[in-house]
Amino acid sequence: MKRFALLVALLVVYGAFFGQWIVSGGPERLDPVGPHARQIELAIAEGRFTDALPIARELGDYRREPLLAYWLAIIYRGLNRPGDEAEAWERFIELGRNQAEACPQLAQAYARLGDSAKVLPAYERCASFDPTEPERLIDLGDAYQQAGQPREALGTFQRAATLDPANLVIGRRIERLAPVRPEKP
Amino acid sequence: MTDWPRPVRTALRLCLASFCWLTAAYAFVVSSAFAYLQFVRPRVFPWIGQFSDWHSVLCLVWMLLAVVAVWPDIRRRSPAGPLAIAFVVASGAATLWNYARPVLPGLTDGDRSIIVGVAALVPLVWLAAIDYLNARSYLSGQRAPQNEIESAEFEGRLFIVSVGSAVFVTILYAMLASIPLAGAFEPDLRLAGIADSVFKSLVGHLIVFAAAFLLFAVLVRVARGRFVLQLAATILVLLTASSLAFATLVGDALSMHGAAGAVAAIATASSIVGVWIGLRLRTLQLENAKLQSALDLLWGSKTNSRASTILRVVAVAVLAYGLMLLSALADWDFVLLEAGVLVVWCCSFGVVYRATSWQRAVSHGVVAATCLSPLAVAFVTGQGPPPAAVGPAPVDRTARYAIYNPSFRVVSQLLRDSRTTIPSFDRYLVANTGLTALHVDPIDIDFVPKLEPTARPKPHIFLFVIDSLRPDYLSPYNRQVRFTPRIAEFAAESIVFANAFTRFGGTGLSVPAMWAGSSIVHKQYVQPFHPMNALEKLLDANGYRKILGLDSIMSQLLIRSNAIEELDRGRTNMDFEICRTLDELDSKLQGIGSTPVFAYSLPQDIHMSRLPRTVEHGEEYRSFYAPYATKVHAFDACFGRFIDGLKRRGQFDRSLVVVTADHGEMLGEDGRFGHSYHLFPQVVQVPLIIHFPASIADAVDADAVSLTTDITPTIYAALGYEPVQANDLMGRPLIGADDRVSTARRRDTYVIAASYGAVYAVLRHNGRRLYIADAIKGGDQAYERDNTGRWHDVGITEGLRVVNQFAIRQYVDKIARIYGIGAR
Repeated sequence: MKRFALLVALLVVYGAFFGQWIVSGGPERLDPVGPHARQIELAIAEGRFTDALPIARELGDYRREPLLAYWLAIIYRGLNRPGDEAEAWERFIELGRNQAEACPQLAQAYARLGDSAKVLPAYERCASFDPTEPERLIDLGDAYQQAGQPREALGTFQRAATLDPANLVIGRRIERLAPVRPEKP
Repeated sequence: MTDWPRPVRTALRLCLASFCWLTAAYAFVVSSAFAYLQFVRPRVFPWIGQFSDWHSVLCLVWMLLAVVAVWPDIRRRSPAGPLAIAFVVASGAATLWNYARPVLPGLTDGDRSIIVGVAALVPLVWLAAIDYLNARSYLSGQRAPQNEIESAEFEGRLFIVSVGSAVFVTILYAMLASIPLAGAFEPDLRLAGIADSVFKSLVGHLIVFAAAFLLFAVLVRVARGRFVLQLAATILVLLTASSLAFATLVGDALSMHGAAGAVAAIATASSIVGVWIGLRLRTLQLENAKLQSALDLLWGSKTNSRASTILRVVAVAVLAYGLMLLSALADWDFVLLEAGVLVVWCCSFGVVYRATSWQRAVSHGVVAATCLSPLAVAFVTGQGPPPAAVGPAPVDRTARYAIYNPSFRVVSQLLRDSRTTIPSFDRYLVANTGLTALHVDPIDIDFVPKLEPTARPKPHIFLFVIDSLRPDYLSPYNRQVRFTPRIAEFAAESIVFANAFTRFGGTGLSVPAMWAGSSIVHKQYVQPFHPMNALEKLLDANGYRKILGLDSIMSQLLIRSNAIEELDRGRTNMDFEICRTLDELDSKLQGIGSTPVFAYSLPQDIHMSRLPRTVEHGEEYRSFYAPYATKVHAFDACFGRFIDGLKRRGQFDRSLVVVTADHGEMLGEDGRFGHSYHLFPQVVQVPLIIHFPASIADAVDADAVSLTTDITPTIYAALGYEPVQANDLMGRPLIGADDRVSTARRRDTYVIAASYGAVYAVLRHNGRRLYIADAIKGGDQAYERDNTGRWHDVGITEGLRVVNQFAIRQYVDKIARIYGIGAR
């Protein structure tokens, strides 16, 4: 009987393993196509951000889910609440380990917030995280220009041009800044 | 005579089974809209059509063999005699019916074909029932382990066999994998990488075989002493496992989902298990062999002959390697390869089972430790400490090993971490894909609200969509290519869009979307298509003379009229060859008047099904897939001749010539061929070269993402219109780019869908990042392109998954909203 119990116990463990309950940590995941999720995403798609916000807040049990932070960031952007938006993007980056997708959005939220002390460092962080992405350097160059640092802007655009020589947008930016001479390194 | 001699009996049964399996396979393949529309109906493989044509006659031969097979049961009035007579009567009636009204030629895509396929398998289950009835008294005389000691001893043997099988399979496939690995450049699979991979392979195989051990051991205990009960439980386990394997491997590949797919899986599994057990039962019954367990019935009793064991080991190795080679020659998304692995596992278990003479109990501790330790290792390696909070997730480098070791591939899929997929998301994708049965009304796709003839000069327009053409096989995209000099010349006088992608993987939806200039609902096809056909509307509004190759898709979607001059008339789509088509077009273009001409063709020269098996591997094809490259080389010359003709007649500078593809192709990358459900970088990237008339000198951002759905709005713009996007599913003109448009094209997110299944991809960062959500196979993949144009797979973080799956849902919802169908 002992042996039978051992075999059954082992079989249950294997069933659990193949059933993925142990590995996935149980059924506590936020279902991206569950009823609440569908309501939120349809509201976002239709621009009904005020409708989406309370539904998203109801899902507080899933605060460790990056999807919730992502929804909230988009909703706050739709509601023009850049402070909350920036907070949600920070949380999304922390939970989702995804700088590439969220970093520029975070910097834009700081820019909308008027938090100039955070804008440049945020764009610099994006560019350093994604050094081969010319679009991040364009953002950074634009931020330098906004901050009244045209030399840094020109240097950044020129770096971007080395990554993407055929990029017309970069070319035009450099043209506009042609009278400015970059600082020597 | 009590029964036919064993070889005759076996040959008869296998003949009958093969015909039934072929019939079912045909019906199941036809049930898939993709396979039916793209392969079966156009008769890409003629022998498939011939099988269907001759099926009703072959059925008569099958019936004759069936009568011969069951004749001994009828003649000697065996217990199964009445069942055998009923079998003959029912099969005879079905055969005559099929002869009078052949079923197979009339099959089309849909569940009816699945039902026919299931019906074709019924005779095999019926024959198995006859075998069982005949052997009932023999089986009831068998003795299963009766008491604790016998059970423990049997478990001991089963345990040793399971562990031995795991080790055997691991070693066998490690040796076989080393053959292709020897010539491959795999920096991650040097000695340490291979050792790590083989260790993981062993762990995985131990888990699989330990699971089988536990299942059988518990069944033996539950059915203690009752042999028939034990056999029934064993058959149930085999049926379940085989059904799941069929549903996963074949069902998913053919999009056989839902109740019909489940019935097909169960019927196929029943037929395979039925034939296997039926043949074994007949043999053992005649030999009056003593069985120790139901496993003896499946695999045979233990043998002391070393020679026969060695022979079996060699046979299994040859089978495993043969299946690997066969899969490399012809396979459908690894179905054959992976099904073959399951067969090899079964055979390996049988070989080890027969060779194992161990008949002692194994202690509790050893059993528990052996079963739990691989689980613990897999758990730890799969669940290890999370990487740094910021940054991409690491890529599992041993995943490269799975490309060479098919058994490791199957094990990895079985044990895959569930966090890589979200089943509900996959179900959502499946439910919103391939809406063949759903009625969908067409929408109006208009780039210009009130389309009037243009005031500008109307150029001749040539749209050549070369099926399956990859940009990296054309010299304007790849400096290493030396075999497309004429296309290089053409490109020098044209604009090469360096970053072009298809909107749909697979011709089925890619070509209609190209004409529509928009991503379209996932349905083949919305009828009438004309309201959505923005290109056809443009041509009609401007009085173009249309010279068209009416391929199997556009022939369903264009308004048929006498105004269409058909290219390749009387030929099936698969026979559209660019050289012949261009010659025909060239002759039509001679002496044309002032009417502007629009010409279109979808040549099939380099479609996977048309590639030569063997070619001369010339020097210039080195590092390319030669059968494909040689065809590209051939059509390059014809294309050059056509352009020469245009120039000679002074038409080139007044022409807009588009060379593109409906999708790319896998040409052996990671062992993959084809494009059916794939959205890998090699499939979604396409060439796009446009020669504009000399009068058009608008700004162009040729390095920003361009899509095949941008072609139609670009033609609008070239004719002087200002095309407007009513929604972001619609394409954008590729000429007249200002900073705002350029930036949008570089930064937007684009969702790409496979034409024939629930596989979606998200393209971001100016086409440098590709995320694939595969609801057919399950599991997501991500790729990144470096500055040299080479793609690398990257690890998937939760954040990456969230962003990209959200983009896919937004796309699917938008389609549903625009077409007024509601997301499922």
